[in-house]
Amino acid sequence: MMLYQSSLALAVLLPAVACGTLGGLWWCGAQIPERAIARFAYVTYILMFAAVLVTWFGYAFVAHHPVTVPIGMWYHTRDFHFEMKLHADGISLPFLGMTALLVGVISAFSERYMHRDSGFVRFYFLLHLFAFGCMLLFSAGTFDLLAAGWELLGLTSVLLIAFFQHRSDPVNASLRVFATYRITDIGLLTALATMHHAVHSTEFEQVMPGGIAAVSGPQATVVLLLLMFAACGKSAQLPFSGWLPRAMEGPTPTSAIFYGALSVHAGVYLILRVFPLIEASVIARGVIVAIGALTAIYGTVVGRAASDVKSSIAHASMAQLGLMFIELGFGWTTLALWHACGHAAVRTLEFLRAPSALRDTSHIHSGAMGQLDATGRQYEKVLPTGVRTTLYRLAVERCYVDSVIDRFVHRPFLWLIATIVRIDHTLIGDPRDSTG
Amino acid sequence: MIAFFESFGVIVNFVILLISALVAYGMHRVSRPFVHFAMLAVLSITLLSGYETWLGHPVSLAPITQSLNMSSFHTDSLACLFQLLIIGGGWMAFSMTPERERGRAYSSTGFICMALDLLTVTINNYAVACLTWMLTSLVLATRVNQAPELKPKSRSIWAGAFVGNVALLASLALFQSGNGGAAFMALLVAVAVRAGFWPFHRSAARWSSIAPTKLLTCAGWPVAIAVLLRFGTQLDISVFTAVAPYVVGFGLAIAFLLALLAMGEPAYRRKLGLLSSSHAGLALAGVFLPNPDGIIAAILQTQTAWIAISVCQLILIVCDARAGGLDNASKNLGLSGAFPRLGVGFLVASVALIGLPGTIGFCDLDLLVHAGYTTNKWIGVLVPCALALNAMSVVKLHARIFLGPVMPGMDVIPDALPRERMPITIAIVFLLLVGLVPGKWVDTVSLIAIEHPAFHEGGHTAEPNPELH
Repeated sequence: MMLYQSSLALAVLLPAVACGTLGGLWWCGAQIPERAIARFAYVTYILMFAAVLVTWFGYAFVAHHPVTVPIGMWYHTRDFHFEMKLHADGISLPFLGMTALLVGVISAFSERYMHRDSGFVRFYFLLHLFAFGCMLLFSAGTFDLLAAGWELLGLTSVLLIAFFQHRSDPVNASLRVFATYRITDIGLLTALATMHHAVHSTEFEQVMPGGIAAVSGPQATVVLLLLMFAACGKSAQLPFSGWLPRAMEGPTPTSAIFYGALSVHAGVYLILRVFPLIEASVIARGVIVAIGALTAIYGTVVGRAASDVKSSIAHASMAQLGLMFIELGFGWTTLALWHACGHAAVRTLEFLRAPSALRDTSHIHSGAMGQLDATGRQYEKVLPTGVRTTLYRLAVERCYVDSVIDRFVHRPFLWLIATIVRIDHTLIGDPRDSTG
Repeated sequence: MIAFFESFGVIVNFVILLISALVAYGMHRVSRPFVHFAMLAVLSITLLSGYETWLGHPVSLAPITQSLNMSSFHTDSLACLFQLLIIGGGWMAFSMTPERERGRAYSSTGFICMALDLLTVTINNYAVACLTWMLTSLVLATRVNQAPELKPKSRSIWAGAFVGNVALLASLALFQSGNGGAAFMALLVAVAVRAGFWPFHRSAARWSSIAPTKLLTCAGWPVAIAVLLRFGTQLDISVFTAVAPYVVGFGLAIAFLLALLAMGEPAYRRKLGLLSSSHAGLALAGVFLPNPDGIIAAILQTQTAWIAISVCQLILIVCDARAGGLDNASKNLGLSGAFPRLGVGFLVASVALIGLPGTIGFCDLDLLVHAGYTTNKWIGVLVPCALALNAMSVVKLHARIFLGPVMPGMDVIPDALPRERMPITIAIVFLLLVGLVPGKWVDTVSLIAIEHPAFHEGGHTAEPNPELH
């Protein structure tokens, strides 16, 4: 195995080892000082970044083709094979580099931000698990492995939103996010089954040999729409966008890394990864552009009326993600890739500065010797008052998306459960009846 | 020596457990070292007797025997895996029993039921399997009925045991009279009762909510799945394949229905009981899918769901013994602040149950979706939907119990004690380790599917059934 192949495997394994070590020590009752945890994390992420750089070097200057590390069969039956293969190319390497760099930055930032928090160990454990999930997702050479990273990302996201578990709001928000993720992950699982059925493999080279989709016609459309369904959940696209502002209940460093930098871009990565399939389906391209455009408008309108800085940034992120999906729909993959990387870096900085935003604004206003208008106010003034009022109302009500989902999905679902329980009690008897 | 245990291991285990039951009955308070010693002995003998299976040389499923002799006992993959499940579950329950429940009566009943369960999953004689199954139900129902605090609540448990035993008796009588098809249908009814499928779910959920800790893992639905796998096709393979599409549909419908009922259930232990039955519905669907991957997924699903739900149940019992009145709480209990390790144990078990990666649950979900999709595309879509509903229930349950503000006075109560931490650790390590390196485990389980008569002459064809599309 070449050095750059080993370094790719090392980059993926390092956070897993860090996570396992920290979790094992905590389970055994070891009291680990904060400084030791933070230093351990520094070393892990410096090594991880170095390993990604070596892989990048190998890809760009030595191999001149995608770096693959075949690990073997994770498990297999007569008809089903779960191939383990790492793959680094021009799409995955920017995401891998970004993961190593930004998680390292967040780790350094959190040493002080989370100082003396009772959940310090838990925070770093989940951060390592998240890094492992990200590395697995972005370096996967098969869609099966990608799905494993995808699910890990979702799990850590939910656990970190509920990080301040002594308050009920973060707990409720995490449940909402979990429900959204589980529902949309059905799309990913079904897409995997479809790929297994159609191509008998989920390896990138088998599904898209030579960059051309192995499936075409309606099958390609179905696979892509299922993947888009999953991507909409992870990247907070309509109609699943409601969870993103609620996810801001987590600690600020995790908001930065999840909802500014990496997690929300997982959907963009997924669609980038299956780009040859997009080329095979006009319908899917149309759907991607439409969803992206609607989300971009929604995020822009709602974000302008957000009452707190983190929600405002979250909606801005949503709008940018919508634009990325439009770019993907139009086939501008390189633009989408750079847009995602740049956006991740900027948003991380914005989220990390968010707690100081009020002080910063106050300084800016004092420096300008008076109250400054909010950015973009001049464009708002062009609109007639009636339109502005309507838009404001729409923004405050979040374009009624949550109300519509509540009325037509959530409440009917609760009604269904209540009805089934009532019928069951009528037919079989009430279980609370003490006799039995 | 290994050859001796291969031939007589099951009998030796049966005798050890019966002696343990007698000794336990003679003790005023059953000592924990004694329990550990007995369990260790039984586990070692099980591992020795099935050593060929673990080395990858399984004994294939033999034809059904009509008389009882030493060759009637099996050490094949099916027997070994389910024996481990029964012993592991029993050991975990004994270790985590709160001090207030250490009386001798439940201990001896627990040992007896474990012995009978081991016999049921290893014997290749249908009559004996039915009899041991019936006896377990009767012993448990009688024991619960004799406990003054449980008697008023045990009516549905008695009803379940009665219906199940009548179905098994009917199956046995029909089998003896040569009507294998009808015997198979009666067996399906008995499986439905044991697994707590609608309309028998009330009995299973009641058992889940009131069972004494030591008996909680006795007579579980995995035993029913094992019996179905071993005898289902041998009773009448043509009926087995003829009813397969309907049973798959029934299993999925039950999984959905019970998942929805679990979502609407406020009592925590009953909710877990309903979730368990919902997963049993998925396992049943897997057994009848016309694809060997379905059987592999069903066995993995059975193992994962049973271990995960047992861990969750036992952790709830332990928490209830410390905090008290979990079911009557009107808000989030925040027990994670006081019992972080119990909270993590519950979370890992939940994650395995809902099929997230890094746990064996991920493999069974993947295989079940694949096997379902190969049979019929809609099955491939419905399986993750049912699991998503279960996932929401179990995560909400975790949030309700372990998240939220810490209850006053809880901070002085200790987290998991060493005797509780050990079984939780072993269960978590199993769920994670087999999930991280599932190859060997899946290979062992695959042997059951490959040898299963459903995919040989007279059974399903290995190819997808076009009629199902």
